[in-house]
Amino acid sequence: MTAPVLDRGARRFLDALNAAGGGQAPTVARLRAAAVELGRCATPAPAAERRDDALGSIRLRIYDAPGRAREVLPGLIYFHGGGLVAGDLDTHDALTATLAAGAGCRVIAVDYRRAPEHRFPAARDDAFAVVAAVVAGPERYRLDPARIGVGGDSAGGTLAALAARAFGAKLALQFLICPVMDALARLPSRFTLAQGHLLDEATMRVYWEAYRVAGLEAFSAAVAPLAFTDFAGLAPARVHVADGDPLHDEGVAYALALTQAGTACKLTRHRGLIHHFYSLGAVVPRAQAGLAEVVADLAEAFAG
Amino acid sequence: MLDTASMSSRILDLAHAAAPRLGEVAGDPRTADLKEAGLASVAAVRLMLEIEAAFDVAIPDPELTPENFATVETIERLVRRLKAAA
Repeated sequence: MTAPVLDRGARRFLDALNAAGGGQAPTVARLRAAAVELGRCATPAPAAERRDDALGSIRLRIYDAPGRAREVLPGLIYFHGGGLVAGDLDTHDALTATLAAGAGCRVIAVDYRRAPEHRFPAARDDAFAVVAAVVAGPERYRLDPARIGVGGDSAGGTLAALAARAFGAKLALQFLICPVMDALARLPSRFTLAQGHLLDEATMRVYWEAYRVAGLEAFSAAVAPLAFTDFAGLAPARVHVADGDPLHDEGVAYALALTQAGTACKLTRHRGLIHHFYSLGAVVPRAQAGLAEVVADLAEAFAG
Repeated sequence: MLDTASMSSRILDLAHAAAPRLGEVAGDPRTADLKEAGLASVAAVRLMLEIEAAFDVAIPDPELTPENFATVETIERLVRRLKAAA
């Protein structure tokens, strides 16, 4: 695979970022600070209603289009990205608000526990606990029980896909944006785009080292959707990948595995865009159109 | 065209907002290393875009170097050079 031709704005963003950040080793503190800064690069969110909720000690933030909070709607349980180490409800607030306002669904964003303070299986357990509660009591969230889905970007996509495997036909959708499908995937885009494309391979290793526990292999079905032995009977999937993202190939591989197993899957490739494009609209103009496609796809998935 | 003093103070203001520890450095903040003053790389990109908007300049790709964004002083030199060429 040769390196993709990037959108000019994306190229410029990466050039400036690489010029400014060259040589700094990724640490948990730096990665968390960068996630906060990246959150400020999103296009300002459209108006949306937000309310805080909780499931036990797990904080939730529920988003609706203005005026729709009392309606019964389809629901997307959403897991933010950040390697299970960085990112939170605030860094992804513009994205989750945009999804809710634009797609006409209720978004339930989950503040799962992060590594390294909480290693495997903390994040996954929190994700599953929320999904279990929502599918068991959709009326509590005013959700249409036939249209409950899981979604996430980057490592949040990992959690969403793991939940899709665990909850099978109880879920109606898995909505994955630039997902991590194997923390240490050895696929071509991981090599060709290993450096200088926002998400370095060295960063992926820091994330994995923070989350892993002794004896846990990165390529195992407990943590890596690509390691599932069975891709049948899963909720229909929508997978978004960007061809300038080192995670491109694993998203494509997951979509292919689903399709071959007879699970419905629609794959969207965003040409010329990079990892995290869905939250870079303020600094990469073309990313705004990419996010609009993501939102339209979510609306279509719940309508169909 | 902006006079030197106001350009300098405008860049310093923007740098203070982007590098959280710039107010704490010993000596002249204009020559302090911005990275050491807490300028994270993503914030540096936002700073670059703000500089472009504030002074109505387009920083060409070859000028996107760590050296040009090392200190307030180097940014100021870059902006002045771009203004002179415009």
